[in-house]
Amino acid sequence: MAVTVTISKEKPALSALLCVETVKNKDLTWSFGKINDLSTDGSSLFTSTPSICRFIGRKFPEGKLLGDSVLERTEVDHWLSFAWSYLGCSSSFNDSVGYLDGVLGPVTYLVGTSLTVADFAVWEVLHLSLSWHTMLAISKAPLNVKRYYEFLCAQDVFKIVQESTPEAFASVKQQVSQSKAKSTDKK
Amino acid sequence: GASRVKQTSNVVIPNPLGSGIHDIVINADPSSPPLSLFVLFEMLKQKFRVLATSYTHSSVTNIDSKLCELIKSGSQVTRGDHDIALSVVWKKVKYGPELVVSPAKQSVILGEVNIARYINRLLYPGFDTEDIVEATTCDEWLDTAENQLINGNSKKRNAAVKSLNVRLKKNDWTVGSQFSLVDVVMWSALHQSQLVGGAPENVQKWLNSCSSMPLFQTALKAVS
Repeated sequence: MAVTVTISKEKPALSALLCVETVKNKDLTWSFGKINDLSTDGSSLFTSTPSICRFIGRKFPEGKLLGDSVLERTEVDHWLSFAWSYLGCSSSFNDSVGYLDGVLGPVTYLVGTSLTVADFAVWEVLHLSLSWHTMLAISKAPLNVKRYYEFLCAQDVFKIVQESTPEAFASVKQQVSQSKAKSTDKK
Repeated sequence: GASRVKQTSNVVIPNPLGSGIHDIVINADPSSPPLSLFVLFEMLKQKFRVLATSYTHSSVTNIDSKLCELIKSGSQVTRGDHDIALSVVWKKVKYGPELVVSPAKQSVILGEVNIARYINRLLYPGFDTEDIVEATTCDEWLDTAENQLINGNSKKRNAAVKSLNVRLKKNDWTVGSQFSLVDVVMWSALHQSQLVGGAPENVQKWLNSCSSMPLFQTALKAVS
């Protein structure tokens, strides 16, 4: 059964795209479209980013996107909640980055010993976060999160996704430089 | 309607049960108890031998003593005779209820909904693989319960109740044709966000169906 993913140009579901590029299966293809969407045989099944990622993870288990055991699977769920509810919310951003820094101290990946949707979700939120890029720009980013973010950016699948969706990131970068210019004016 | 072909996933997910007793520790705030836990506790007891213990942390005063009575095994039991040891610690928790099963190897799992997901996987080892469209639909409703009902503002809460009401117009249960984890979590989230009294007709009817099930009797004691 062929699975097709549509990625919105305006608000790209980067995690969904990372899933597609990691799985690399002829039965899973993507293209740009109006909204983020996952369809099987032409009928739409899911449009929210976590659901698209979960479905791909379940449909293509060889990609090992959702963790190995019962515990790892639920850890992935935990990180999806964390990414989109706490890290993605500007009022709790600082606390969330602090918590993430503590967790990342001894580990390379958030769950288990390889990339999962947990890493994709956290990376997506950081990558498109004005707060995060401002932290980086003024050298206030916690070290473990900075190392982790840069480590992920340099991996092949993340490079492909960054190259495919330059607009989303450019707009964040532009806002960072504007807010930086403003804060310099004040001084 | 047309019968749907189930999409399955050909993979076995390692399960912690079956090799000795499985320890689960849940920390929760007694001033906002995760009600789904009481239902899931009853579901676990139907399938497994559960050794349950409740503790009150010293940081908590004025705990309603009935909470500790609700998740508890008899006193004349030995640990070795059980599949699961469930310990509930009533304490102040900053970001909601916490689940710990293997402290050296995991991050603490946060939130009532994710705790429910873990227990559901113990109850139904085939959840992630046997019908992947239904499993993902369940997760989507669980995300709604967490983001819109438990953590959302009144606008989000009303929107979630509205879509539940639409769904329940032609269906007895929230997802699929049978009672599931999603019903447990939605029931719990609606009670905790004080939305039960003013719930629309279909939601009201479904809430009553849940509340009349034996599985919900312990949870009802916690809200009364």
